[in-house]
Amino acid sequence: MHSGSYLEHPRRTEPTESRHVEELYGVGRIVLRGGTDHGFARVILGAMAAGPLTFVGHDASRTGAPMVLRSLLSWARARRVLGDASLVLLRGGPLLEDFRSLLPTTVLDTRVRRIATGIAAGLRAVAPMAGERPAFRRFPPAARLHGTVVANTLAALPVAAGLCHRSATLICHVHELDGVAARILPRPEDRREAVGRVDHFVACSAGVRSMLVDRWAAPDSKVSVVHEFVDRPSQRVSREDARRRLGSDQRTHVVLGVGAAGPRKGTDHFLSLAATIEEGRTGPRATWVGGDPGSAAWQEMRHDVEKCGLNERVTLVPTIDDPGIHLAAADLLVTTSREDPYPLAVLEAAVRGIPVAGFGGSGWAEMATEAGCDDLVHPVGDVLGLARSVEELLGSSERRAGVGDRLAAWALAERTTETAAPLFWETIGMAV
Amino acid sequence: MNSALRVRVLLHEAGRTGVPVLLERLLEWARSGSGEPVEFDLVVRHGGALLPRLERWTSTTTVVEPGGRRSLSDAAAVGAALAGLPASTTDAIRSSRWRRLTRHLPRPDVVLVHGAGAWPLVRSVRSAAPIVLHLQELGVALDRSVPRPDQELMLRRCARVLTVGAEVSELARRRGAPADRIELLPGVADPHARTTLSEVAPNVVAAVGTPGWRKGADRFTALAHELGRTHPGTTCRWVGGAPGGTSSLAVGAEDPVEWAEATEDPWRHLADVAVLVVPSREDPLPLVALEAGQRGVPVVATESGGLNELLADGRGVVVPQGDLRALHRAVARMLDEPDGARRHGSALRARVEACHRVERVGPRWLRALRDAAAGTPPSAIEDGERLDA
Repeated sequence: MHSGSYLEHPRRTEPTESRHVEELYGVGRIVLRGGTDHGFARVILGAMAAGPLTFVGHDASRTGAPMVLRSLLSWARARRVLGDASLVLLRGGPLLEDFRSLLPTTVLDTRVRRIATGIAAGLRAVAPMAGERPAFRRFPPAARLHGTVVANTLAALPVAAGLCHRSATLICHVHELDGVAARILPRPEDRREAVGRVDHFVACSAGVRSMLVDRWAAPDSKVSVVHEFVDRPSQRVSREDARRRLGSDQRTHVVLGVGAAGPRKGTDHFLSLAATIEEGRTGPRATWVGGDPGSAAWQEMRHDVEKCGLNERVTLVPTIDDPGIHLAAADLLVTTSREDPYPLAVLEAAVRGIPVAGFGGSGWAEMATEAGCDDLVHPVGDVLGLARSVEELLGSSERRAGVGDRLAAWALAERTTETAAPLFWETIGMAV
Repeated sequence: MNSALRVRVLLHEAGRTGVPVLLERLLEWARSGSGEPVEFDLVVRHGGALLPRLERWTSTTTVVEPGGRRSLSDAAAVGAALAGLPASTTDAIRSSRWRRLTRHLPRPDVVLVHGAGAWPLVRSVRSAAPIVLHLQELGVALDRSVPRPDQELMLRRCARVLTVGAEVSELARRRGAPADRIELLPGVADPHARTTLSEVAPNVVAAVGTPGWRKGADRFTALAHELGRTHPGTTCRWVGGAPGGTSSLAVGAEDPVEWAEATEDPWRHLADVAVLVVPSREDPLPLVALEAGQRGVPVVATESGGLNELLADGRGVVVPQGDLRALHRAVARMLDEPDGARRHGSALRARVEACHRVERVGPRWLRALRDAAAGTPPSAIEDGERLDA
């Protein structure tokens, strides 16, 4: 039995798993975008023969990358292609039990470790002559992993790379764009080291690919794009039911924003938008879901709500387990991020047929182009331009339905776990 | 002749921002223009670009946290915090070092806490000298400087609370300051300002400050996008650096704002400005609005702090917080009607000249310090009278 310690290597995957591959895909082949026909089953078999598979994630929070990983692992477990894969998390979080139900999961962070980190940080602070701490970590050889190691984010990469035996294949699933990436790997030499040590990058959007290839000089052949994906909604909750459950008015339009409160997700823009959009005598309601009420960003949101006279129009909901009910109750989702490579909230709205408008600094520009909704993309920070789009959408139920239908058709065809997870799995196999 | 007043001045940091700049103007006047004997011992937690200028007007200057790296005690405090020890432990570690570093300073007659951010430095003062707090924060900034439960204690401990505007006075009252100890002290215009602009362009709109939530850089960006549609060719310039960290735009994102680096004299970047915008969420009384007034530059601002009073009665335009359409309309009118804009600028210039020259404000400041040191109760003059006196 796998003990869960990161010092132990998961057992090698038994080849008996291979018999499930054809059962899984029926024909055992899959056609990738662009029409390339790959021997998918062969690729999977190859990957499994290459040794154990270890995922390394930064945490188990209900944020984009861990949610995608959970969908991927659930899909792989259901199809019995996960084998003896294991997961190492730098920190825990609300998804931890979900992960533990899928595969052996180890959390590196402990109180002792936190204290040690604190002392180390203090010592580094008084000894600047020691230079900046390198981003990439070193682990003793006995702790290193063979087979294939998949860092689920750039944030997990420094530890994943440190855990890799030199014979192992290192894959990095990149969900970050430049701003976040620069905080994780601040020095050019860190980014060069990342490009040198990673055998293959899986970028979650074309924007991320562009960062890796154009700005980090990663070889083109080292980077694949597998767009983010979400599970199909398990049950459809009607707008009316959702509002009944939330105790909300059935007649007032609701504009929704989702994400961790703060400038990256553009909560300042969202509240400016809420203060700007006009409809009827009172205007629509605006709901933001996500954030920690004890944080500075939350305090700033409360300030804006109060000072802009939005108490009657805006609802702030802290991070909750399932924002689906708020999505179901919404007439429109807006994405106001300054930087967001491929927002899952937009995909969650799209698979439910909820129209979306927003800023193009996020992957929304890429998504809208794919779905044929370019006219609902505005430059980052153009609150008044976005407000006009929102007012137009709120003013026409036909227009909302049309946009919602287009998004749903696109997302259900191309961005669900059933469609995208095989592509991701195949990418791992091909890299190995 | 009074004996020299010895003032221990506590300051959070010496960057090129409003709080240290206001202090420098007051110190310069007190030392070179007041004619009164007064000595200042400055204790500043973190250094900054303004430190050399501050040092010119002080008898001693002590920086208690080294720049660029943590002190041993600060590192120990950080380690203690990360290890989950209570805040009182980290406070004790820090204050023991601060007391050691300031042990050599002469005993003060009065302690001036210049900005609530400097309040923690009170722990460095050994004597029981009366404390004057020059409060320059509104709600969010005050909460970040001093935890809410400690604010009443702070405000009650002060012999005087000087405020830069009526809204700050009201906040001080609500947070526990006895009303009879609150005294309004207007902001101070730049005593060395060149009061004319060289080459005003009809289409340059500018803002100044650290780009972020408090100063409303996001609102300025929204304004710039809209002006790009309604007034093509307009230049929107922000002086104070570009947004960084989590406020950075995605690489390649369309950005209608020219971001100019912060400099010692922001007006070097503003020689051609037609309208100054102050889109702040919280700004007790931005000095840049006074400096615009000195140059006759019209100001459009969002309602905040002392801006409502400063720009009232046709001295500028104030729009409600968060009303971006009103902000755009007001700026567009200034661009479309330059004669009207000039009238706003002239009226503001007269107001700044009348109420915000250091020669008018400085004596009140020094008197408040002297009265606090002597234990004299504050004189009962209404805020409004003080401003218009």
